[in-house]
Amino acid sequence: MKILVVNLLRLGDVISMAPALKALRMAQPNSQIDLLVNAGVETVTPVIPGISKVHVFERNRMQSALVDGTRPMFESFDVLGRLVERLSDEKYDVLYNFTHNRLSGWLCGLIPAAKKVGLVLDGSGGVSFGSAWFRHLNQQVDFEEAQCFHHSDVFFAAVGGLALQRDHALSDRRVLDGVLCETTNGRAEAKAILEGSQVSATGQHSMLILMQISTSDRKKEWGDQQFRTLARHLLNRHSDATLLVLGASSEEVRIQDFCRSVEGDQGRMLPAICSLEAVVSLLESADLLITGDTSIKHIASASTARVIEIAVGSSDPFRTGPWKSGDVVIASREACRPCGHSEGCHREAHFCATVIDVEEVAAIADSYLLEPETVAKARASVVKKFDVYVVDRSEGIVQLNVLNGSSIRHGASDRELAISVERTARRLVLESKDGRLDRMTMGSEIRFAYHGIKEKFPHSTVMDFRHSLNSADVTLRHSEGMVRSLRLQLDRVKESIQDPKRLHELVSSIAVMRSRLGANPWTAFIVEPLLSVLEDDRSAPFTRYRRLSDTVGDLELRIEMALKLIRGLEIEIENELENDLNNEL
Amino acid sequence: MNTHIEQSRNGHEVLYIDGKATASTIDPLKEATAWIGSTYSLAAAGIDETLVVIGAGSGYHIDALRECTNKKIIVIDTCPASIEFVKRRLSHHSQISYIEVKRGTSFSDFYQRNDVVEWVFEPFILLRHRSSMVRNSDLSKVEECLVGRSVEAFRAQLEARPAIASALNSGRLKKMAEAKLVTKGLVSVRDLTSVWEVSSETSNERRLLRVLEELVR
Repeated sequence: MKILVVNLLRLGDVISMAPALKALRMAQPNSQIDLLVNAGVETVTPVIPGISKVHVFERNRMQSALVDGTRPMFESFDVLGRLVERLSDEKYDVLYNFTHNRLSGWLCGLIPAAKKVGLVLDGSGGVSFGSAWFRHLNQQVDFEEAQCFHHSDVFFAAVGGLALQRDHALSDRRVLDGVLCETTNGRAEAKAILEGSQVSATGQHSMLILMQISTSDRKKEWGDQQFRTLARHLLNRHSDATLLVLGASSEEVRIQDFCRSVEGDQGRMLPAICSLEAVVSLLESADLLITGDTSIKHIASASTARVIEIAVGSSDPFRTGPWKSGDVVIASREACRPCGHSEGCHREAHFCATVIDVEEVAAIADSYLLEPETVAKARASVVKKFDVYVVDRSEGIVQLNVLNGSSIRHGASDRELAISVERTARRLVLESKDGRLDRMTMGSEIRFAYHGIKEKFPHSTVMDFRHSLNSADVTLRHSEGMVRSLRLQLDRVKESIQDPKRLHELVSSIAVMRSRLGANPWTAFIVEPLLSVLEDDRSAPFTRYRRLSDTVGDLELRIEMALKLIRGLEIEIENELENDLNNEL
Repeated sequence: MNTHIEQSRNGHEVLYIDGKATASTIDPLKEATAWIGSTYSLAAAGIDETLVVIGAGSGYHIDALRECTNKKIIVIDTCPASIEFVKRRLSHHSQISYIEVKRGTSFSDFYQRNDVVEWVFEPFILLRHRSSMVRNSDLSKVEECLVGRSVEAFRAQLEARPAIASALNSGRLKKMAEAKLVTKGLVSVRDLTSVWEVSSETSNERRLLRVLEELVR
């Protein structure tokens, strides 16, 4: 089987699809997997194992040829045409588009493949996704942070990774292990850097801290001064530590200046101007990486090194943050964060960066370097000025648990619990729509969910959960009754599709249901499909009927999954209470 | 056209056309190296792309180019003496081919030549030898033709690209061309989208344009 994976974004985005590529390799061990990436990004592909061929999308060349009057008018047209021709000649069986923008959608529409997964636009602009996960990715733009799925999880799930993990009972570590690989060149480059520092090439004898002070966008940077103070603190506090400041060759001057500016510690603080391949090897020896929102962060998520991301500006850790269990995200609570990628900061000052206090970050870094995780989490929980999250993959996908939020101090509110349950229910719906969920696998999903919820809300008691879930059960059962009545109305419409009165009645019932259930945290997710029902839809009756039928079908599936999940969680709680009772007796 | 050959100060043959040297009379090799350095990034070219050089000069820049790439090189000039001179010096290099464009050749005729058709509809990198172009104004016409952004050159390109031409609305195309002629504006690929025929909206060419539109959105 020949598979083409398209990712026309930046380095970090390409690296964050590495778990999905591993799942593809595991599911189709004899397949040929090729990549299509932006020119310049192909430098990262040697560290992604199992890639047969890399095709390059000459974005910059085409962009400049379009606007430069001295270049041949059809240059970009011919460059693109030739690329499409080459990709067509490859005769791919499956195409995965992990890019999710219109450009890639149009392009993937032009590349023939028997099966296409991800955003594809056909000749007339018709959209297809090939997987409920990608359709969801399209919708989650408006979702709240905790409701979102991490992009690497969406890719992983869309290629069948979650099902693979579940069916083969693969541990999370096993899934993430080896998603990136060292190269000979990278190892040699890293060895040379380590030999120049106090760290042995094996990294056994002293502490190695990596720091990435620059990002692709100034708006996402915490600031050299803050990093400088943090570096001084870490070097003073950890006398056996060596600190390497990472940078690409284009950043050499800035990194050299930065290292020189930390007086007295030049011997233990060194610039590491190197390739991404070398970074992969350096991370194998590192204890900690402190970084902004960078591609290095994603590489580190595939390593054993602990990651602390300072998420500033447009960085969105819920969607594109680090993705390894135990990785830490520090983010301000400014209402404007995360801002849009292409907009400048509209505030008087870069508050989302300045509010993150160096002393507190240093204390978190210290505790994660020196103390057990539970103690480190406890220390992070007292931070007041900004949020500290830790990545939890106990449910097999990324969940950011806030360490110092109100739920930590007072237990989960109904709304917080509802969002957490909703996330699992949404995942079950998406897996079910992709045909990857059956009765047998529901049980393990529910156990996963129960474990995850307890982990997320350590200060809530089992009785708190039981109380909330009971109220959710009542609400959902009431909604189930409403959906049944919608189904009956829909059947009546089907008997006489041309009858506008019946159609009108059905749409009115949907409007009532939408207004009644939309505000309830337990049912907000259920009624999402109803938002697309338009009362003034003037489509032909059959088209309208088909749309309404799809909507009611979606509604039924959501109710079914949510109820199964809630009841499953209730059973888990009863079992736990019974066990506790037996133990007491 | 009077031609003769003289030695440069450092002993290399330089072709003179109508009394004007076609390369540096002091050090043509150094001049050629400088030309390579100032030229549009060769690294941008794809593996099997053609490099098209406007202006044969005395050929030292072609030689320098050949030394830094193994891509196919096409040299275009309107002066037969210049081409003959360069051919004589570099004849053993199969990597290089030559196109002589006769003075007054129309854009349409240019696009119908077999030795042009075989590469012009594939991506190529256009390199200008300014020293030759300054001395020979006919080469500017060749450049205009290959860039294809003036209304006349655009028309000629459309004739040579029937799949695109047939998908355009002739009425709107005419208006667009008239407007560009008045303002002496350049045509761009983006202009095509405004003159595309509704019935051809789903054609592959239109879909390629949609990708390009997203690139400059």
